[in-house]
Amino acid sequence: MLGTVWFCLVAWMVAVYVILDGYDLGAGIVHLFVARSDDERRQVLKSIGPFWDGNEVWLLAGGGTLYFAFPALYAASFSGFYLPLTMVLWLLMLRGIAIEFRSHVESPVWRPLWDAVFGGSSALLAIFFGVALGNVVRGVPLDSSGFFFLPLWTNFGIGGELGILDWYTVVVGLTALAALILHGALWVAWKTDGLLEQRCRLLAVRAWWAAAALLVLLTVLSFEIQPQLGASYAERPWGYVVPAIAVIALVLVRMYVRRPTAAPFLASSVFIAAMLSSVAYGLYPYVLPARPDPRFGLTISSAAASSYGLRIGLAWWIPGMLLAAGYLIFTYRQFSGKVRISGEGY
Amino acid sequence: MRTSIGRQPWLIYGLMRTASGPSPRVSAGNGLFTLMGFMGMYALLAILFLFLIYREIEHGPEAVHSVAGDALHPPAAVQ
Repeated sequence: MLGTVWFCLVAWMVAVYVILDGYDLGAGIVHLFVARSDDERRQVLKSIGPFWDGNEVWLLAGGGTLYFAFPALYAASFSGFYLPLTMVLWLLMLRGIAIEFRSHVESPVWRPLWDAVFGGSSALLAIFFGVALGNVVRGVPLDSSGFFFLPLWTNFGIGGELGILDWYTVVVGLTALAALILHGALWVAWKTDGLLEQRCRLLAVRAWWAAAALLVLLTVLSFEIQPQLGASYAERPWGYVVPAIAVIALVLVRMYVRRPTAAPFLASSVFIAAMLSSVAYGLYPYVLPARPDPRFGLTISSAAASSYGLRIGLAWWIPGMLLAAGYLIFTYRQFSGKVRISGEGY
Repeated sequence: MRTSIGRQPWLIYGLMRTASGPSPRVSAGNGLFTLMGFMGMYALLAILFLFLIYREIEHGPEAVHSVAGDALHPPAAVQ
């Protein structure tokens, strides 16, 4: 019971992370295409400036929660994905450096260089996170020791020796890229005006079609390769409500895309949350399925901490979340409205 | 470093030995590669930091335009 509560809480934190850091990763990807002048680049940076590092704290908090609630899962996945996780850290570092350093020096070499680093690392992070999700859905080669090792790639198939990159995880990575381009473009469109906003809305429409097409493909593939998904929905069919919400939200994004309000961005946020929730719902009670032998998959009961720990953790998690919600509301109110470029910062 | 070396051979004092700590599936090669990667990353950060700080010092502080003045620029010195 407590294990299920923590499963939902961890899934929720991951979803909040993807929604929040997702739009600033998306802004990083799209800024190379929608922001043509230096002023426009600074507008994009300023639209995420007060938020992006706070958004990344959700990744840290999610990792910390995983460590405490599902220690066996944390140990298995952080050592099994050791190299790609380290690469994610390097990309996060480079991206932070690019955001903070770019506007300090006015030079035709310095700024375009950091813009490229910012855009490139944002795109790679979106793909990496998608590939990570793909690995969890596909399953990893856990054995009786409770650990696994995955090479970066093997033959890109899911039949023989598994790799982190295969045709399935690459499709998930590209879907994540398209979805975050859409999400980021909608954020920048909401926070800016003029030509920059128009270009964002145009890009959002294109990304929408790409995301929708990839999503249909991905849904078919996922049910094909991971039987647990089909079994979960067959066993508890009321869960179809969650993917239904995702589809409705995605349609609303397309309908609202030209509205000059927060509506398209919020619809995209609901879409991301519902999409990730439907994956979590489909995997439940697994937290990390195994392939080729599904018996070694980690479930809530085999990965969770003791019930005493989970109970104490809940007592700390709730005030922690209230604090986080408080500063979240404060910053977003403080920096609401369209960004204006002034002399200082970014 | 002092606390970690002084605690040896324990990872958690009295509970867990360092020898039973390492991840069984992470190879030494991966460990070395990421160690060098982090060293490279921090070296880059250090170089950028020194470059920007040097530039800032070179540039000097902005002139203070204050009617009331401050410790370094008493009102009498302001034109």
